[in-house]
Parts: sequence; structure tokens; C-alpha cells
Amino acid sequence: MDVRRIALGLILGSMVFVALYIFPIYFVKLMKLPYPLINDVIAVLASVAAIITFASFVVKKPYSYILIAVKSIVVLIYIWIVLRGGILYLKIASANVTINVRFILYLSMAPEILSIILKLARFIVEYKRSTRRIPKERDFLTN
Amino acid sequence: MDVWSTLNFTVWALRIIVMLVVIIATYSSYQLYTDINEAISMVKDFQTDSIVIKNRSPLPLDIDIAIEMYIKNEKVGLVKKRINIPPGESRKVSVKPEEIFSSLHSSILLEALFNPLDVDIHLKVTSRLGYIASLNASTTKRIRIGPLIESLEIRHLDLERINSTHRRIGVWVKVFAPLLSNKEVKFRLILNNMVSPWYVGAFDVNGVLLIEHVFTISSGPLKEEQLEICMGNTCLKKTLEV
Repeated sequence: MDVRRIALGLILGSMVFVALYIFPIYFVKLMKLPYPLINDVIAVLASVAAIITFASFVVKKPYSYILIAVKSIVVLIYIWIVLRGGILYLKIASANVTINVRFILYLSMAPEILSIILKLARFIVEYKRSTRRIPKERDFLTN
Repeated sequence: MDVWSTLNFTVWALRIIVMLVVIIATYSSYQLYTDINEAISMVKDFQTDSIVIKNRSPLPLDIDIAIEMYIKNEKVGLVKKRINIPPGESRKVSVKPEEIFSSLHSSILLEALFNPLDVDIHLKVTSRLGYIASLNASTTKRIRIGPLIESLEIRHLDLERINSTHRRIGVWVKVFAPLLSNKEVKFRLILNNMVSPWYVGAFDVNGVLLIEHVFTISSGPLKEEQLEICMGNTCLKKTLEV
């Protein structure tokens, strides 16, 4: 197994975890946002995304593309949960506040959807290429 | 660079652009939220100071403020405001108590002239930041309004004795109701069953209404004095202490 790829997978997996879990938690605390993140759920999703990122470096191509697509699906679920489907309900003092962030939600999801399509397409193309039977010299002779 | 690398690069470029847009939108929404939060507390506490809302986003900001007033679940008044703030500019926002009271139905105002009245205030604030985000905030508060007339001063001046049975008396009434400044009213005085003609006037900017009338009444002590005050088609008669 290529040590360089394992190291790269570990670094990128950690970066994904930091970006999806540590940064949002720190950001909410720093800005004193009155927005409760569902810490347990996002911790699980961030961990899953980080592990898949690492695995995508370890697994051979073209299967790594499937893993990257799965990671994007996990990120999609993560975005959906963090933005609560585009409608955020907050209760501040005695006021009920509803924030409609559907546009931000769809905008955030767009690159991930594109990434899923791209990786699946690449997987199909490369999988077909790898399983294509290479004609051998004997075949020519028998024909 | 092959096709796959180009597509991959495009997706990453898109991710970075989206991330920047989301950061700007989140920051703008957060600023908007803090301003709106301040506006809500301002209206709730009936502060007269205005607050300054600055549009820190690159998109136009529209704010709608609706204050609905209910008494026993019946809508008795509505104040609506719309503010447009172009990108990067600031606007002062204020909802003064006078505006709220002047929107109340006349019968409610009359009822609150001399008595306290419980009013449920529903405050709704809607703001739109272009297509990026919209924010709805609502809160309800029960407030006690009234007596709107804070003081009522009456002076009588014996002007002249006409004969042994009749005399002329000047009546001067000063009504102080700061929340009714600029409110137009119709009023008349009744003294010892003598009725003055209807007068039409308005509370001044300080909420003061002066009523003066000279009555010709029969000699003897003053028995009963009344002030009849009308807003719109609704009237209220109040007996004054002579």
C-alpha cells in the first residue's frame, strides 16, 4: 500500500472533519449565534465524511470515485441538517424568528450534486475501460 | 489537462465561489438579525429613540414592520411601515408610541382616555435580503394603555353678573394627553345643563388641548360640569369635578 496516499488521505480526512465539525462549532460560539447546532448528528456525519475521504485515497480507482460520490451525499445530508431544510426557527427572548435560507441551501448543495454526477460518470467510464477485454494473440490465430 | 481534471477543477472553483457567497450571506443575515432584534426590543419597550439599520450586504434590503393591536382577540389597530435600504446605506427606523396610538380605533382611544386598557400588541417584522435570505420575526406583548389623559385642569372665572338671576362665567379646561399629540377631536362643555356649541380642535404637538367657553348661567352654585369629547363618530361624556 502506498504510504504517501495513506498520509494524504489522513490529512484530507482530518481537514474534512475540521471543516464540517470543529469550524462550525467554533464559529457559532465565536459569533455567539443563537443557533443550536445538532452537535451529535453533525459529529457523526463529519466523522463519516472524514473516514470516507480517507478511504477514497486507500481504495483503488475507479472504486474511489464511488466513495467520493458517497462522501458528497453525506455532505448533502449534512448541509440539509445544518440549514434545517432552508427554514431556521429561532426563539429569542419572547420573539419567534423564522429565517428563510433556501437560496443559500440550494446554492450550497449545487457543487456537491455536480460532484456526485461527475464522480459517478467517471466511475462508469473508468470501470468500463478497466473491464474491457483486451484481445490476445491467440484469438487472432484461432480466427 | 484532460476533461475530467477540467470538470473537477470547475467543481472546486464552484465550491469556493459558493463558500464565499455563503459567508457573505451569513454575515449579512447575522447583521440583519441583530438589527431586527434591536428593533423588536425597541418597539416592545416603547422606546421613542430610533435605531439605525445599516445594509452591510451587496443586495438591497427591504424591511416591513407591522404592528397589530388586539383587545380581547379583536383587531383594533394596525401600523405598517416599509423601509428600503440600498446596499451599503443606512436608514433610521422608529415606531413612536404616538403612531401606534393614533392608529387605534377611535372608540378604543376614547375608552382609554380616562381608564386603563389592556392591549395585545403583535409585532411582525419581515425583511428580505434580495433573494439570499428572508427573516420573519414576531412577538406578542400585552401592554396597558391609558389613562391617556394625564392631567385635566379646570378653571372658572366669574366674568360679570348680568342681573340678580344670571351671571357669565368663563370655563377654561386644559387637557394634557401627550400620546394624543396632533389628534383631532370634537368637543363641547356642559355646565349646569347649559351646553356649549361643538368645537373642533386638535391636541398640539405637546399633547395639550385648551378648551375655553363663556357660559351664561343662573346664579347659584355650580352643580354639574361635563366634557363631551368625540373622535370620529364616537363620543364620550365625562363628568368633571367642579
